Amino acid sequence: MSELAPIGGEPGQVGRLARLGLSGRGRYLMRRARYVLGRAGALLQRGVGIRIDRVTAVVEQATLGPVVVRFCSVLAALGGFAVTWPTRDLTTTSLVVPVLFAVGVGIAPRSLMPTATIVAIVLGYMFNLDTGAPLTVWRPIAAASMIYIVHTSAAFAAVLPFNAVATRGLFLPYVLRIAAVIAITAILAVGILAVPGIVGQHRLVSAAVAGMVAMVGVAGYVAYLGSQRR
Amino acid sequence: MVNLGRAFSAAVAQRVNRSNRDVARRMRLDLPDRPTDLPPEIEVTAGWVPTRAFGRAVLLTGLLLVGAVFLRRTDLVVFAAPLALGAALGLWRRPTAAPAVQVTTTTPTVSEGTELNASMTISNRDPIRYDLVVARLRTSRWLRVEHAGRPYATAIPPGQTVGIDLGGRAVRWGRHVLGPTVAYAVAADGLLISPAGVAPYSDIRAFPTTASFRANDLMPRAAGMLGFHRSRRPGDGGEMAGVRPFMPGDRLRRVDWRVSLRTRELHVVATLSDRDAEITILMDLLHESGLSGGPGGSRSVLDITVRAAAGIAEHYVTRGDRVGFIEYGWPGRRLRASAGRRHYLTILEWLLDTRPSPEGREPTVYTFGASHIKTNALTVVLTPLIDPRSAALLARLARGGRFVIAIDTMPPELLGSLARGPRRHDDWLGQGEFTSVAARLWLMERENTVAQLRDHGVPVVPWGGAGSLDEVLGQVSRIASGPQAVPR
Repeated sequence: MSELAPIGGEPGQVGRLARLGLSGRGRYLMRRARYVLGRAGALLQRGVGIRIDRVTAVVEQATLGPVVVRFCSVLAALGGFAVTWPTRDLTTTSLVVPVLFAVGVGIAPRSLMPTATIVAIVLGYMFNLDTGAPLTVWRPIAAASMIYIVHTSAAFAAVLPFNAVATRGLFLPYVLRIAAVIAITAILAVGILAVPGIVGQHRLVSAAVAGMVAMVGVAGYVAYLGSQRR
Repeated sequence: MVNLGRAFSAAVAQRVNRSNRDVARRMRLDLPDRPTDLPPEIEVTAGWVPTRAFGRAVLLTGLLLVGAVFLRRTDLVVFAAPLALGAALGLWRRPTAAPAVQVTTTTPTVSEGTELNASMTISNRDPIRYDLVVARLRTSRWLRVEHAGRPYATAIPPGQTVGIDLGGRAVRWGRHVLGPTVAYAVAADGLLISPAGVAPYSDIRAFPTTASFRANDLMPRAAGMLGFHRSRRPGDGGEMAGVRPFMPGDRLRRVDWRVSLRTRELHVVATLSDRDAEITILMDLLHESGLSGGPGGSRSVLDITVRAAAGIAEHYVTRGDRVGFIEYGWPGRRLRASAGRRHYLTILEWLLDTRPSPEGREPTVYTFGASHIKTNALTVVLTPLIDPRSAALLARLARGGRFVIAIDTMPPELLGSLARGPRRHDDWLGQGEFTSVAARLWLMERENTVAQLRDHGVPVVPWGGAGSLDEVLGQVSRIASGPQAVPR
């Protein structure tokens, strides 16, 4: 309780403050500041202690299945950054940013972190291309795959409590669905990115428009389903 | 009588019926991670609702497509493709029904420390596969049940039911609650979440382990018409009183032929009638102290009180005596004296609702009226002698002419730790400058109280199980057989 000492202070302190040459008002403000800082420090210490206890409890109760799902989302986020971000940024101190994003996805899959991470991956990809990186087919496919894994892993981790006891085979359909979606995406990406170059430049605009219309149709369908809430 | 299980269930039902605006957040954030001791936050929605991941898929797909159009970047369409495809595949067929949860038990009545058999079933009534079903079972803290406290996650194919065995045991006597169980399902690749399916609680009654108890048949005043204890009155019984000449009305099977032949006159064997006795067990519930650790573990005051009461009651009831109960505390329940096997089961059931008095509640003044404890009944008081009111009660009963035996229910290990003082640096006895000194002073004061009670004619014995009351029963019987001076 020493940090919550009264404003008047301990006997003897008045003399020390007076020797500093402070006026009465100055001494009062000095004691007041010491009191406020002490109280804030005590509250801070208590808050930190509560959070440490909470983290300790989470670590003690965590089970393998949910941890693996969250770890997958972290790895996918790191993979997405590795594929899309400029290589020079990933070897410098700015490497901290992708790591923070990725860890944030694993720790808080229910928050806005997955969305922010995916946006950061896409922005890094566009910046990388604008600064001279070549547009290849494999890079968007890999990035889209990583983005999808981040998204769906976070979706799964958000509804799976960290201390859940998972049955065997729970994650198999989830992995198969990811593989199927990535395979379809790869075929679609080849169609969007590579075929126009093969068939000729004059078909590029019409093919892109057709692909875009298809995607808008899919997005509209998804939005329609979402609006059909019971 | 307050039924905690029913109160708990009512609270759950109240929460279930409350409308909710932020259902998805509640179900995803609060429900799975809430500690087990708190009542569940159960919210029921009208149907399946989208999760935050659904909003993310729609938002990112739209942003990427708009960006592709405005920036003329077809590669952004590739980024949007898996998000849109995954959502479309997942939402192609959507579920409508909530998971059906049921918890059943084949052992609603168990003994303290014995195995408990229960099972939980979750059914998928939809034609759609549930990608994930998370079920959480909440139980009383004195039920150690497998999978309780932790959510159980599984996937359920359409139209199927998953059963989970919930093995466990009751670690303390009392009325316990198994449930309620809450389950929610996730489908469409984590994009839709179901309303909560709730299974109501099941009542589990855990009877106390009866402390082993035996005592001799000495009883201060046997009073009934039949029973095990011999009386001082002649009559039909098993205890021989002598041989006397035959009188009209004597049964022929009582004729002592050997004496009759020798004296040439009919003689019969005279016997003392058998009588039963009444025992009133008075439980001091003013305070609870110590920690409960289940059978074989540490004991609290209430544990010792209830187990000892069950042991004493079993011993006397099976011998044909009448046993009644009175609580000293609030609300001061009482159980009328009776005998027989059925009454013993009633006693066990009655003991399940034993609770310490709430703070600020005084024992009712009508608890110990003159007619409530009979003067010829043996009064066994189970008391930890923590409160001065308990000692005053004992002295008052003895002064009123009752045959009183006090059984000290303070856990010996607790008394030992108070006498020894702090052993570890984090021991509560070591906190504060005068804590251990105060504890020793309290112990000395308690010993003084016990000595004063003995001076008043109230024997105080620690609870020791079989044979521990024989000596004091003999003393009380001797006192009862002599003339008594009762103040008028």
